[in-house]
Amino acid sequence: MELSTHWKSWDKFFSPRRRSAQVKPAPLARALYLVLEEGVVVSAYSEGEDLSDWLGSSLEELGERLAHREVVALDRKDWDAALLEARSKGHLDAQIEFLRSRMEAELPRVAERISESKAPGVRAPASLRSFQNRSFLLQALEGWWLRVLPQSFGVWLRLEGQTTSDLLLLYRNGKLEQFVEPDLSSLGTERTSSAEIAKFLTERFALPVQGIVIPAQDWFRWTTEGQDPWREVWQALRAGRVELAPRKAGVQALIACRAYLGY
Amino acid sequence: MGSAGREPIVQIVVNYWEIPPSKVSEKLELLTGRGIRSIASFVPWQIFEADISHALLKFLQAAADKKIAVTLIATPELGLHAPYSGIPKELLAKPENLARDSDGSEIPVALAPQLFALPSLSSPEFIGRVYSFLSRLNVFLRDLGKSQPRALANLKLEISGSFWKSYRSLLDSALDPLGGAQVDTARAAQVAYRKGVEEFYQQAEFATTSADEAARWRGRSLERSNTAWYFRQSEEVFRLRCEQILSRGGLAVDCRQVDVVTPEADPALSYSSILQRLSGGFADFSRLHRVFRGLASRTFSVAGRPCAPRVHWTDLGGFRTLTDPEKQFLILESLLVSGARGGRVLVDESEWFSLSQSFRARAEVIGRAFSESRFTSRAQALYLAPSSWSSAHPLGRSIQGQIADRVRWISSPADITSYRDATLVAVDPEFVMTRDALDKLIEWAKTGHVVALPRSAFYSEVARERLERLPAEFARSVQIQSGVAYTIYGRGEARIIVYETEEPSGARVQDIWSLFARALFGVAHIETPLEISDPRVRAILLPRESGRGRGTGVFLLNASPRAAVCELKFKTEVRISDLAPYLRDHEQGLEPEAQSSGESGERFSLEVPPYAVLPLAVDGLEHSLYEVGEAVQTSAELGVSLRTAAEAELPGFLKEGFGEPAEMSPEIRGEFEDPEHPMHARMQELKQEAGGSA
Repeated sequence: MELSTHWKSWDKFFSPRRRSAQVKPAPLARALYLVLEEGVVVSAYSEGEDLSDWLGSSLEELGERLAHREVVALDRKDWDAALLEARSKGHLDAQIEFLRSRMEAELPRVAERISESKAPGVRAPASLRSFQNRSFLLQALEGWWLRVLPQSFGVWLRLEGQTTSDLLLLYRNGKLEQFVEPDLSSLGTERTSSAEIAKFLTERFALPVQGIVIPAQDWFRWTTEGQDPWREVWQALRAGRVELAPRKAGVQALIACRAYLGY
Repeated sequence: MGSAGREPIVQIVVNYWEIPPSKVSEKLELLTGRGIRSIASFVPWQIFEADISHALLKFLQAAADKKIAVTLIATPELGLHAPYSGIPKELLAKPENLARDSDGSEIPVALAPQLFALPSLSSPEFIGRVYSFLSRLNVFLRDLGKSQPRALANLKLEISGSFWKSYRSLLDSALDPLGGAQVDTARAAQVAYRKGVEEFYQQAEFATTSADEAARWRGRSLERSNTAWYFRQSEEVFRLRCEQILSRGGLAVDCRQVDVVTPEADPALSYSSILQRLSGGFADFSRLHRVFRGLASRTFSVAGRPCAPRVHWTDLGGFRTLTDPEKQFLILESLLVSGARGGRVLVDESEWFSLSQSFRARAEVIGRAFSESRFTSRAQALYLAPSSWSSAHPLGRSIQGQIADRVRWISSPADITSYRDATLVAVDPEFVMTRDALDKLIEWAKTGHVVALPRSAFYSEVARERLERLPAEFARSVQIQSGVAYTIYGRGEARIIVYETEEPSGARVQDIWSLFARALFGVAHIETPLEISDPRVRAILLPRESGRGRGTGVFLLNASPRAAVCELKFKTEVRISDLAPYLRDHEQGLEPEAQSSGESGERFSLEVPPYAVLPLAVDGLEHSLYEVGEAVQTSAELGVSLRTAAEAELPGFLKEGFGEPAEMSPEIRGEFEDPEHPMHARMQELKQEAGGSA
């Protein structure tokens, strides 16, 4: 059965990072996240740190331990309300984005809260967006491309390596509604070209589907450590390592824009 | 991962609904090629009900063809890779179907594929639909059994406690994994709770009380205990009902009660998981580890039988983002904690195969040692609490903190008999004590055990009267006024300790209860046979059941990211060596050789690498660990045999327990004690016979 939100594939494509000694924490992960109940820490997170002994302490008691850190301190009641409100957003990715925007809106109040700690150099981040750890492809699809792309469309991603992985992103009214691991078993052994698969998916989901076939190794490099992934995508496209199905000039132009103009 | 006939302790979870029906056979072929002979799967309720492609049918048929044993976890659970963890979305859209915490807030479940609010198993509509789903599953399996009996030959069904354990507030559990009360304040749940409490206190035992007393039992001051009691009962009723539905029509499939623990889906991890996702970082290993340990320390039992634990590591939450050493540590610790108690570790397929071949082989060797009962975990102490899933009194925490894996949490005195090695039962101060419960505890104490009873306001009048009669029943008593005040009543080997629940002012609460816990261990002969100098390292001690010389498997666990150089100090002189040869010999079907290598002594120094589990074979610990318990058990069994034999021959002569002359009339006692009397000789014969059978 095709799950409308195939989270395992989503994670595989868009959060392939696994912790290891070589992987540095994402900038946002280095900040301190605290959930406060009447000024007392009830939950604390910062990547790679065991903060369990912080629980039950007030910001004032933590004092020096907050010094020179970026701290996002959230009020427990507001945060609980935000978690429950996020339920209406359909899937975890949209829910996390909603919560991120809520957190962003909360930053001015965060600055007030953490000033109670009196720790030197403690500050709230100026913005969470600057730290955003979102995939370069999703950022593009959810940016100004939406103005030129159809109202509803699909993007079929295929990663080729030792095994083949497929993920179909379905956007409706500018929002990512589903991410499906498409069942291609009914295509048989003859209709295996990328163009035929894209055509099949277009017919099945009744919306235009753009296929992108990428070597898995390249994709994971661009996703995890790529400094300028769009330029690398463009170069791979030119070199024939990345295949577009169908091969539309408009899509190539969008990629080129991203690669050379940065938007 | 074990043959179809032998159940593996590490079992991989295969999500049958994710496999296109045309590829099921190919997929299972791939698994058998990798040595997998037994798998587990959940049954996502919504997907099962909408299964027009007959995915489950095809999966079970293909598994039977490949001779793969399948375990289906039938009851709804969290942590499934299915929308809303398989729960029908339309049910979650109705506020009256949602559970609420102690503040009246809905309880979010923060695990992929989406955040949603936990449903209430007390909602009439929701529970009705759960039972209807299970009925359909039963009909489906019965039909399959008729048309293809072979497809059910290697199938097992498991029933879990579903969402009951998750009815806890995010706030309380964020501070302490099992902090706060297990409660659902949804309207339907509260109506059912009031009704349940009302019925409970209408028992004859409570009916004789005055109006004020009756109001007190139902009032706010006892609400915490009543709630814990009610939710414990509700979970048990739910489980039994599920078992009854699934077994309908003589379904020829083994149906078992288990405890599925999914740390990543627990309310205690909700805030941490969301913050991790928001920051784009990795999971908080220490938090995940703490939540796992908290959950794994508890036990639920159904009809007096403990449910075997199933620790489930998914690939939907933080576990996926851990490093391999961290994952391996959690899997091995789960294996040691649950495997020794007849439980299993469930690991999602992709996660299991992402780990190295050598680690998987090592885990399988240890797993097989458990499945063949070469190690067992013996409970030396039991903590009788009102609920398995609520926060503990400091006494419970102290006991847990000091003898961790040798204590079990129980919530009914009926569970005691399942733990034959236990020498101590400590009763939580908030446990509602009825006459029947107290009788069971006193009877158990009289067989040479130790029972610690609180002097609390939670006794029924008749139970209190019974408690007040203790001094008359027990020949000796000693009062101790140090920290927690308590009185020890003794007769023969039996000990009943009645402790005051009010702490002296000015003292550190946890300290005085820790001291009291230590006193209890002293009376019950529960020793701490091993002390470790570095608090980062803890030990799990598991007695070996077979082989020449029994010995003990000592597993040292370091859950920190740095190596720990520590000193091990044993209570007596022991001989330690590597446990691996013992496991290897067993793997090869050889009788393990007597330990010729290794070092002897009381103190040893060694380094435990980060996230490592170091297995040691230790000889010489058996006495401190278990022989006292065994002696008590043998003595208790001897007493029971004597009593049975005597009652058959001397009907009406004995009132409570054989060998208790105080219970007999003076004339009869005289006959037993007079060496010249024939009854005395017969008594000696009976003792000898019973001794032989015991």
